[in-house]
Amino acid sequence: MNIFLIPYTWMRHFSQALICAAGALMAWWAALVWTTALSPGWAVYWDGAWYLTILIGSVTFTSLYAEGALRRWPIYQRVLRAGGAVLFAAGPTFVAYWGWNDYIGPAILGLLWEDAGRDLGEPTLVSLRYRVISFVASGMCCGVSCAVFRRLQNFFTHLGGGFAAGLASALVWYVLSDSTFEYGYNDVYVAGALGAVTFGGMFGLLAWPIPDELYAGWLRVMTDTRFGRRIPIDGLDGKQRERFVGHYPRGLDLFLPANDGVLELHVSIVVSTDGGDQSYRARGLTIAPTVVTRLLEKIDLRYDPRRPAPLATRLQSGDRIVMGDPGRPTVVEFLMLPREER
Amino acid sequence: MFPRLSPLVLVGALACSGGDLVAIPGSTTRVAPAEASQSATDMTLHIFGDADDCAGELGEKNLSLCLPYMDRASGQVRVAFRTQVDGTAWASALTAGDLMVSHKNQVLPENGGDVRYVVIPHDPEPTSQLYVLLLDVSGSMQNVDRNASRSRMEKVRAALLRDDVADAFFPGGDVQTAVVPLVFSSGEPRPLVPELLINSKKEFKEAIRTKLQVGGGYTHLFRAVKWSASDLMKLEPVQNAIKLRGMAPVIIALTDGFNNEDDLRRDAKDVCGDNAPRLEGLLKFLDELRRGTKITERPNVFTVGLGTKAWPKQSAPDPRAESAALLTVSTTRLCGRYVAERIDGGSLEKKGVDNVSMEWIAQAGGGRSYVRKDTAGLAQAFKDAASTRYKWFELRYQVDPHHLRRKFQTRIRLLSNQSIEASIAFHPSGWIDAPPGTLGKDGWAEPTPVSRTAVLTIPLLGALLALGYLPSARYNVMRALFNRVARPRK
Repeated sequence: MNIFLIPYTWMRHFSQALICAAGALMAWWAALVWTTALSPGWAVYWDGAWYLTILIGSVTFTSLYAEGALRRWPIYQRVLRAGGAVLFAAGPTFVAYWGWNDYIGPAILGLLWEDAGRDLGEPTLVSLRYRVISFVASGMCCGVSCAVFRRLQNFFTHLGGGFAAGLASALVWYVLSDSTFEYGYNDVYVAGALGAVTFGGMFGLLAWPIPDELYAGWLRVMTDTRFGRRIPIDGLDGKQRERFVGHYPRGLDLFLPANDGVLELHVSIVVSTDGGDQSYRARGLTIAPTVVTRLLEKIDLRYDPRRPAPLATRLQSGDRIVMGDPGRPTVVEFLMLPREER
Repeated sequence: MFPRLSPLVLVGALACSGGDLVAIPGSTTRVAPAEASQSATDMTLHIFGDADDCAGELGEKNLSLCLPYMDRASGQVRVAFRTQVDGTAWASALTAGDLMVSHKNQVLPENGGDVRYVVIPHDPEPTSQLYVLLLDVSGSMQNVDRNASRSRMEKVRAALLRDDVADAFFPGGDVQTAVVPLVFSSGEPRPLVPELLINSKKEFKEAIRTKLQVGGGYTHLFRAVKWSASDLMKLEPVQNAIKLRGMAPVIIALTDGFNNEDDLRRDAKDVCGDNAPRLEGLLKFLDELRRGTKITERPNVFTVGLGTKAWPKQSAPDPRAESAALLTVSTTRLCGRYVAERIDGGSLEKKGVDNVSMEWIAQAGGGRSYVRKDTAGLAQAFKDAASTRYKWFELRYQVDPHHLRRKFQTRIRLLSNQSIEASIAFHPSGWIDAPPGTLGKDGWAEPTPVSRTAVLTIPLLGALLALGYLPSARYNVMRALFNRVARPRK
């Protein structure tokens, strides 16, 4: 994964989902090839534990390694962290599988169904009723492990993501494998693959969205004079920053010529990190025309002398700030780009 | 409980304790070692359970057909097996009709709904056999049936004189075979030739052409079968053929009607119900004889009826469902509402061949029963009875795919001797599966190579990775479309 290939749009949230889904698919393939081409050396009872461990191990590794790639950690650090998380997840997955199938499951489900203990202990049974908890528990182990190796940041998001991933995966796995459903396949081949993809996709989507801190706001000139010139409005230290745009020749952050209708101090962009989230605002500093435009929306930021403070509006990536004479305006755009962009 | 609590067990399991199950290459299924019944007889069924077993006995070329296989998508199961005596292969001529197949202790009907099964023989092996042709020469054999141009006896003669039938009885090569032609009506059967055994095709055709004639009298079918299976086997030429030349005896009994022993009863004429105790006696005799005789010397009894079935809607008990009734003959089962109907002079002989009795005898005698009305049909029946034996067989069956969603046991049992059976337990993975089998033209699935998983995985993986580039591609396209990239004109 590369942050430069993930633009700051709503679609960025799917990047982690896609890469985790790919990791899960590879895990399913590896488990399948291991079982079919090489003889599985474990007892049938542990089929599920091994499969789930391979699956969540791969997703855990992919999630943490991908984060490391986005943050540009050294490769050894990525591998160590991701590998440690895999080991941390594997043990509890085995224990959860064993505990559920041998002790907790029979005790709880035994109250509901007479044969629950027998069927839970039957490892070859393809059943949502008896397998869904193993899926969910594995997903939660995956979530906890990732959260621990992310220093417990967003712990409950990870836990919920793992829970949802396990549940969705079990549903897809079962529904697609059962011919009683309209689109069932009768076999666990395609269902197994798509169940794994669902697990990775859901976990990647819900557990760790790409954080805003990896991006920073930029101003970029779009008119002919100084076309393409751009400046960052970063706040790497977490403190508030303000960048000024105008034609005042000394000390301004972005100089634009007066001939194009830009005043000395025309507009400023402020970044603040209230509550950990970055927010960018544009302030109109002059009575000359100053308009922020976006799809189906125009915001007039001209300074009103009757107000004690300049007008300001929140900026979104892609917004344009139009300054000066409407017949021949000067336009700069606000963009969110990877923080490493220079 | 406690052994599972032990951490040692957990560690042991993780450290690759596969148990006694054997993984089937190319599948996610494991099978338990096949089990065979230890019966009083000397023949057993052996199911091939793993690659070593298959390769050792059948060679690498047959490995894919020999290994147990199940396809969850189509609900099909396949096992390979052979009959063996004292641990070594014993070629036999089994068909689906000779077996009772159970899936998870449910007996599969031979032809029923979605369920079907077939037995495919492999590796034909010429075997030495002694064919006892037991031909009915009672008076009714000279009758000419409606729409027929020749008498019943002429049809039999024509069938036996066909080259393909003679070839079946005398295949040539290193295989030693002989035919004992016998004719029967009233009393004991009589040999067609004084020397009893015929050892060549030419002599066989000559004997049939010149000596097979209608003799008159009644039809002592049951007595003839019993005599052939017991007294005949004790005669010196037959003993020599069986013991010295290693020929396996096969009795082929042909008749055109009902067992009729009128001439032995002075008080009344035979009615259909009279045959019930006689048949029961014969069945018990055959059953006892087969149980007490070495398989190499045990006669298999085939029955061939000439004409049409007298009881088209009735049949002998199905061994799959009515194993307890196999040796018990009730008059209603045998005759329906014709229990008191006279056989000779009444309507029964006009109805056709007593197919129920013939099926019953063939079942007890370990053979098969045929009813044919023309020369070609008779010839085919003779050829089937003299069919080639095979070293091993495939059993393929299909059930509802839902029945393959947990472990199951496949059991094969010989109908002719229900104490001979073998079983194998399949343990499919409850989590993942290999690619579904590839259906052949015959509708049976063949294993799909594991490499075919790439057909699913590579495109899916490619799609996921390609979708990862979609946001940046879309972003750049949108910026180009909305003129955010190019320098504006002055």
